[in-house]
Parts: sequence; structure tokens; C-alpha cells
Amino acid sequence: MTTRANSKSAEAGRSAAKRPQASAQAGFRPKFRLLTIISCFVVLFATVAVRTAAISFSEPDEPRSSGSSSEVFAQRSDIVDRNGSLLATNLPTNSLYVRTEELRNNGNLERAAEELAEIFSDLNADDLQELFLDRPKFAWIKRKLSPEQAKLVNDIGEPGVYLGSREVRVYPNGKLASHVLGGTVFGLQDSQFAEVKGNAGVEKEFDEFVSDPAHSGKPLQLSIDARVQEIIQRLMEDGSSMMNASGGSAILMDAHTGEVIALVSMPSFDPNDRPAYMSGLKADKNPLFNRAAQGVYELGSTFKTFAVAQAIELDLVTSETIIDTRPFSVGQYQIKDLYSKDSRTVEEIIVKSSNVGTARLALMIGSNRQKSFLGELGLLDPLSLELSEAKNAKPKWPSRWQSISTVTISYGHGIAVSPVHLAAAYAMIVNGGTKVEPTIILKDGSDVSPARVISEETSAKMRAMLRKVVEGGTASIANVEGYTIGGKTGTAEKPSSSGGYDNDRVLSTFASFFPVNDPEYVLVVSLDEPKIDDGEEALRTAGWTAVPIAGEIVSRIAPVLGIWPETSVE
Amino acid sequence: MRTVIYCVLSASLIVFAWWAYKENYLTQDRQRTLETMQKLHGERFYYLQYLNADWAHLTRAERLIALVENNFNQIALGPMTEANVVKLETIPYVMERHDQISLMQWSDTSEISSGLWRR
Repeated sequence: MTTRANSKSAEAGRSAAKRPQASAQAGFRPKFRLLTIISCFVVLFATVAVRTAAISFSEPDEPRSSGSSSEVFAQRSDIVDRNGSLLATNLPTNSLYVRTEELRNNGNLERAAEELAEIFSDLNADDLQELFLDRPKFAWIKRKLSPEQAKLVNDIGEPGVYLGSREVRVYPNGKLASHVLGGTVFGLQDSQFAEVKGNAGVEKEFDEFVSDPAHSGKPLQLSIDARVQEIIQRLMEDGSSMMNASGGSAILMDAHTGEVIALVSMPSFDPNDRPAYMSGLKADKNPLFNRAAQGVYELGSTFKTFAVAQAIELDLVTSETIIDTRPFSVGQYQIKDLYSKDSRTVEEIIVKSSNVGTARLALMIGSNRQKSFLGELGLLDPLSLELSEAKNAKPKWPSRWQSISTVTISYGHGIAVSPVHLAAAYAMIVNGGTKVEPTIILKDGSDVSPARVISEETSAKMRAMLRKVVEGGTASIANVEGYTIGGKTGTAEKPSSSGGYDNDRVLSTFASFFPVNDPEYVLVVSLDEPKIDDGEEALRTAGWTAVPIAGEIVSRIAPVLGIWPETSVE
Repeated sequence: MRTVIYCVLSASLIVFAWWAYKENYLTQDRQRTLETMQKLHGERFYYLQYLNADWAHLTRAERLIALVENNFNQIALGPMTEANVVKLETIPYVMERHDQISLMQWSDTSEISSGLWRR
């Protein structure tokens, strides 16, 4: 028993001696593991930290490659006309900036300022020196340089003067279709890159499309025909100068698809050197203002067409129906014609432009039906044309459409619409009666709307009547050789600043279409405050001002559009 | 057996390392080529942009009209009018103007012309 007890105690003594050794071994392993893991993490975090620091302190580099599928494309898509002629594109250019600290430390401030002032006439050497001293690190000098200027700046060779790279939007045709194209400005920019953003016209309206890299250089194709646009623009400039007009507009529209083939607004501007917005300037003096699609005007007698078309469509009259055209009163207002006659046929009302006759027809139609018809013609809603400014062309019409409104609106007073509104409405009247949505984008021809505003028969009758306006009515000067033009003149007195209307300031408009038998195009020419001094009396009416220009436009553009003269030499 | 496996693994490690080394340099070389090509592509692209813009500028309607007006004495081009267009049937056919040509002359070509008409 004692022996067993002794042997047990001896074993216990041995195991007690081994225990510290084992526990020391057991303690070493976790410590080793822990140290290993800690070292791994330290190494990992140190690597990440060093790499992060290296990236953040290094100059950013362009990626060396972005895969085989990468393509080189410009920042914005080109804009082309309906025939593929280039209207807007991008070119690489330079910006000019100064790292002022570097220039102060390593360069010659005075020399740099003088050299730059010599290259850029609008810069002053003293101002530049002040700028170099004031700015702690960086200063822009020019956001856009020509290649020649960039070369001259490069030749200065002063440390701290840098050329940045960027793209600039270029319009090779200058003033051509400037109100359609609009313009661009630089958005976000740094020394090596600048975002180009549209700020007017299609550039703004299709900003997302043209700046979307997914299109990969696919151009934006407009419905504009650059050749026709140029002819109309020149004739409008020459014509309005001859007629002493303060401005004007012209729209050529496809009568079936609503495509705008040409849109001119005067005064014009060069989108390559877009003038700054002048807030104090009145809209009619501002070259940036788009008179064709942005401005709304009372367009006078051109509206008589709508009253007559509706009256015929509703079977209230025929073109031969005789209407009482003696002056009459609506409330306190007297309705009368310039050349009064007791009665006229409906056709004569259009041909001789009778206010009284149109007013009588409008009263037969009634206010509700008149409003509804003008609404169908799109004359009461803002334009759907894809120009950023066109959204502002909200027609003005009376909120309470009373009898007097019905009467005045029938001859184009008391309602203000844009010339593009008028062109689209005329297209619907003469194209066989189908609805037209004006557009500036080329369509594929299958988009002709089946919706109808008047019947084919009414449309044919209107075409015949509007042709007679040119053959023997107020627009006889537009009866040019070889082409059959139809249309209606309108001379609207402009509202006076003291209330009422001003006799001496008119807006002369001629809404026309050609060829008469199967109209393909609608042309609206409008002149602001035209005046021809004819010795005794100044001529201002559309028949003397807008009509001759429209006639000349048609005879010049028709061959370009592939419409040959109808009465050829035999 | 273990030695053989070690040898095979070591050999394959060396082979793969050599392959990876080679591929790395090949990739870098290709990247440099791609970079050069992309730079060249970019330069060519901008050059084309320049040419397109220049062509559009030089052939703009305003300039062409001015050129026509300035060189009217030599080329006598004017706007197309009704007088420039005639109906096809009013143009005298060449045979009518040369009806004096003898039958002998025509007989040589009659076979060819009749063939043309049939076609």
C-alpha cells in the first residue's frame, strides 16, 4: 500500500516536472500563429497604404489600353443635314493656363505677361502680371485657342505657361441655320479636358443624344437642307434689307411629313462666335432670339384661311355662297373692311381678304367649334418642334373666348402664334387634310399621320381658293413663271406700347404652298416692320413686302428640291 | 515515387514560370503596340475630322455662290430658271437633224442600233 503510494507520488512528481515544459510549448504555438497573422496583416495593410499613397500622389495617367473593342470617337456626335452635309463637328484645340507658383519661382513674370499680351490683343500685360501674383497656384488665361495662337504660345517657352487639350464645337457653314443649331458652352473643365454642353437649338435639345458615347460617332441627321437654307437665308437678308425690315423669319416645311427643310430667323449670328446673352435687349433686336420658332405674333389675315376652311368643312357655306360684308358691330367694336363692299362670295372673302366676311363666317361657326378647330390645327398648344427655344413658343389666346374674340381671331388678331405654328397649320389645310407635327429631324417617310383635320374635298377647295389669291388677289406678285403658288397674305399691326395698335409698325406675312395641285412644301415668310418708300406713301402690306420675297424664294429653291417648272418652253 | 513527383512538379513550375514570363513580356509588347495604334488612330481620326470640317467649310453654299458670282465672266452660271428647262419631246432627235446622212452610212450601224433598241 505504502509502496503504491510512493510510486504514485513519484509519478506525480515527474508529471509536475514535465507540465511547465508542455505548457511552455503550448503557449509558444498560439503566439507564433498570432505573430504570423499580425505580420501578414501588417504587410497587407502596408502594401495597400503604400499603393494608395502612390496613386494619390502620382500624376493621373490615361489608361494605356482599354481593350480591343475601344474606339476613338469625338466627345459629341456630328450634326448633318438631310443630304449628309456637315453642319456641326468637333475639332481638337488648346486652352491656355498658367501654374502661377511655377512661373513665379522659375520664370520671368514680366516677359510672360508681355508675350501673352502681344499674342492676345484683348489681354493687358499689367493685368496679367497682377493675375500671376494674385493667384496662389493656377490661373486660366484662355479657354479656347486657334492652332496659330497655340503655336505662338508654345514658342514663348516660359516655365509655368501651359497648353491644355480639349475639343471645340465647329460650325463649318458659319451663320447657316444658326438658330436651328444653337450653340455650345464648356461645362465641367480642368486643364486637360472640358465637357462641351449644348446651350441652345438642337445642340441643347439633343444634348444627351450627341454626347452619348453609345452612339459612337453616329451623326444627328436633321431635316434641314443646307442648300435650300442658304438660298432662303440670302434672299431673306437681301429682301429684308430692300424692304427696310428690322427682322424677319422664313420656314419651309414638307407639307406631308412636317419636316422643316429650312428655318431662317433674322437678325442672325455665327454660332462659332455666339454673342453673349444680352438681358436688357428687347427680343426683336436680339440676334439670339428665334423669331420663327420662339416668338409668337398676331399673324393677321393669314388666319382667314382657317375660318373659311372650317365653314366649308362644316357645310355651312360653299366657295360660291354670298356673304353680307357690310360693316357691323360686335359690342363696342366695329368690324369693317379697308375696301368695303355690300356682299362677297366666300372665295372673294379669301381673295380680297375681307375682315367682315370672315367675321360673319366665324359667327356662323361659333366660339366652341372655332376654338376646337384651331386646337386641332395645333395653334393653341406650345410647339412640339425639337428646339430648346420652341418650348417657349406658347400661343397667346384669350382665356375667355367671347364673341368679339371669335370675330377678331378669325382674321388673326387676339391670337398670337409662332410662324412655325402657322406653317404646320397651312400644311394640314393644303396637304389633303391630314395632321402634321412639325419636326427638325429627318423622318423615313413612313411617319405620315393618318389623322385628319379636314376632308380631302375641303382641302382641294382651299387650294383652289388660295391659288386665286396669287392669280388675282393680294399676292399677285408671287405669280412667278413656271410654278403654281397658292397662299394668303397677312398684314398685322403691331401692338402699341401705349395700348391699341400702331399703324406704322406692321408684321407682314405670306403663308404659301407649292405646287398647287399636289402641294409638297409650305413656305411662310414674315417681315417685321417692313417699309418701302414709294414717294407719296410708304408701302407696308404683305403683298408688297413678304410676297415678292416668297415668289423669288420658290423660283430659286424649286429646281433644287427637284420640282421642275410646269410650263416649260416648247 | 515521391522524388519523381517532386521532379515533375519542379519541372512544371519552371516551365510555367518561363511561360508566364514570356506571356508577360508579350502582353507588355502588345500593349505598347496597341497604345501606339490607338494614338495613331486618334491622330488619324482628328485629321479626318479636320479634313471633313475643312471640306465642309470650303464647299459651303455661301462660298460656292460667291465663287460663281466672282467668276461669272468665265463660267456664266446663274440661278436655274424656267428658261433652263424644256420638255423632252421638244428636243430634236439627232437623226432628224442629220437626215441628210446617206443610207449607206446608216446601213453599217443599223444592225447594232436595232440590237440596242430591242434591248
